[in-house]
Parts: sequence; C-alpha cells; structure tokens
Amino acid sequence: MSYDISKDLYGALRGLRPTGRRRLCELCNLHLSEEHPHLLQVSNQEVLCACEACAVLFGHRSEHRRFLRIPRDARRLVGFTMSDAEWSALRLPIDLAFFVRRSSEDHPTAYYPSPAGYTESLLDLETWTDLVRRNAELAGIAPDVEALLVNRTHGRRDYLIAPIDQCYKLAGLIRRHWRGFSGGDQVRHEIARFFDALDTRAIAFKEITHA
Amino acid sequence: MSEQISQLVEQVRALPDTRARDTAIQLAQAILDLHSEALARLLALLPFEADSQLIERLADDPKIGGVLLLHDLHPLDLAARVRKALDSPALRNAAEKIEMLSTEEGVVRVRVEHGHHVRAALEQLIWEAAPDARQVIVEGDDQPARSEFVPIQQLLAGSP
Repeated sequence: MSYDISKDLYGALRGLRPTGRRRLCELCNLHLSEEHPHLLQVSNQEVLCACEACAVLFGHRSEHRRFLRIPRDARRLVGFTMSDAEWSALRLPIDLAFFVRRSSEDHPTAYYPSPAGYTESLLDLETWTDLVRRNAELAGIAPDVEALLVNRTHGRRDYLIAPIDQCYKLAGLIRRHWRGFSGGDQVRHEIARFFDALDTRAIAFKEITHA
Repeated sequence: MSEQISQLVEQVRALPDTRARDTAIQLAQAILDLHSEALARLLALLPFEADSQLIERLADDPKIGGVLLLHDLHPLDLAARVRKALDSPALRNAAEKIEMLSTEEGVVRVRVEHGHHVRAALEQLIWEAAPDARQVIVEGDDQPARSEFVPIQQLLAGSP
C-alpha cells in the first residue's frame, strides 16, 4: 500500500497550517478550521465545536433535537426602539445584557456579564412584553440559540439578535479584560471592538420604520 | 504532481514580499480547508452500514488515500497502515522476521531479524504507507543469517 502523497508533500502542505493546537470536532474528533459551526447541546445548554458534517447531521435533524445549530451571524435590528425608562425598568445593574428564551421555559431570562462570567437575572415580564409588542422582530428570536443583545455602555446603543455563542464569547471577553472597579479602558475597548465586528458581519433582519 | 506541489510551496515560502507570501499561504490553506470540509461531509454521507468496506476501498486508492491522510480522514491509523505495509508481498522473502514495535508520537519503530539487506527498501515502503510519520527507525540486523563475511563490529564485540 502506498500513497501518491509523498513524505515531502505531506510535510509541505501540513506545514501551511497555522501552528498551535487546532480544535477538534466534539462529536467526531475531526480537526476544525478556524471558523467552524457550533452546536448547542439542549440538555445542558453547552456549546460544542463541530465540523460542518456533524453540524448538518446533528443540527438539522428535527425529530430528536438533542443538538441545535447555532446561527453563524448576528441579525441587525433596524428601527428597534428602547427608551432609557424601559431599560431602567428591566432593573439590570449594568448597561449590557442578553435576553434568551429557553425552549424549556415560557418566559425569557436576562443575563449580564460580570467579572465572574455572567449572571442570571429575573426579568420584569411586563416590560419585556411591552418591548416585544412594539418591536415585532423580537418574536423571531430563535429559542435557545439566539439572544437579544443590548449594549448601552459608554453612550453606545447596540441592539442585535446575536448567536448565543457570541454572547458567551462577549462574557468571556469581559471577564478576561475587566480591571479594577469599573472595568477600565481595556475592557471598554474590547467591548467596542466586539460589537463593531459583530455588526460588520450582521445581516439585516427586517426594515421596520417607526414613527 | 507531488513533487511539483512541494517545490511550489518551497518557492512561496521563499518569496521576499511578505504580504504576497502570507496571501499565497492563506489561499492555499483556505483551499485545503474547503476540501477538508467537503471530504468530511462526503465521507459522512457514505452508506456506512450498507458497505463498510467502501471507505477502506477508497482509502486503499493511492490518490484518494493520500488526500484522506492529508486531511486526517484516513480510516486506518498510523500503526495499522505500517502493519499493512509490512505484510506486503514485496517483503515476503526479505527477512526472517519483520515486526512493528511501536508508533508512539509518530515515530515508527520496526525490528528486522536476519534481513537480506532490506533496510533501505523497508524504510521506503514504510514512508510510502505513512507519509505522516515523524521518523522511521529500523532496528535489528540486516544481514543474512549465514553471512559470508563477519562485520567488524561483531569481531570487536567478541574481543575483551
């Protein structure tokens, strides 16, 4: 048995790969490229790295729903409105949070990043219902795998429907870069960079005009 | 084709223009990744239960098997491929005994007993079956059992 790929060619082509540990598909152990799909394991809400084949095989099979494919890109909310009063009514300690509707629960949960990761917070259901009533796009958030991501820090007003893995990534980013009492310049810079990148790749959700 | 690609990769790596070099490497990598994912999906779609030998037949093809190796998709691991190579008819009368000792961390260790000057051919055969090996080490004696001459090392080993 011999292969048409010589030792030299194997070395030359494998050498092109970026160095450092490459991630493996958590379902089949295949090496993954830098950009790869994520699956959500519904039972424990764990995010798994997957290869394209496993994401197709496991993420799209609707009968058993053990895994859900997490969308790649965020969706931009056009014409979304939220007043300062509405935000305050949600009673969140910081101006950054994401809202998820779990398929196992009938009302959404709010999470806000903190130096310890992220914290779950009870949501004022009335305020949320009002918000959905005025912003019909919010009803289109996919349960478990998407979240309404809100950033009102430092004068920014970012409102996106974001993939859940991106929300966790943001929480990780904040935890890593948080310094001192108020977070510091570094974390502020990282948050701005994160939202700019997310927004650049975001796809427009729906054009809605508000009076 | 194998040699041509190796040479081109070397030429790209030697490009003085770092931007051109990085772009070329990224392009090659992106094309490799595209094929890697497509091949993985292709294998995942094979009717596995219906014909479990199909994937091994594909992997035995020199061109397909080589590409599967390159993308970490080959169904046989390093040790299995080396063992298979050692079973080759070409080695049937090459030595009294040839056995694989280990393949730890990609280092293939093979032991030969009373080989008939088989070392070079054996190494080549292993490299052909295992281009992904890091090193190939052939141990043991590569001399026929009844040699007409006594190697100098053997003489020295016997002296006080």
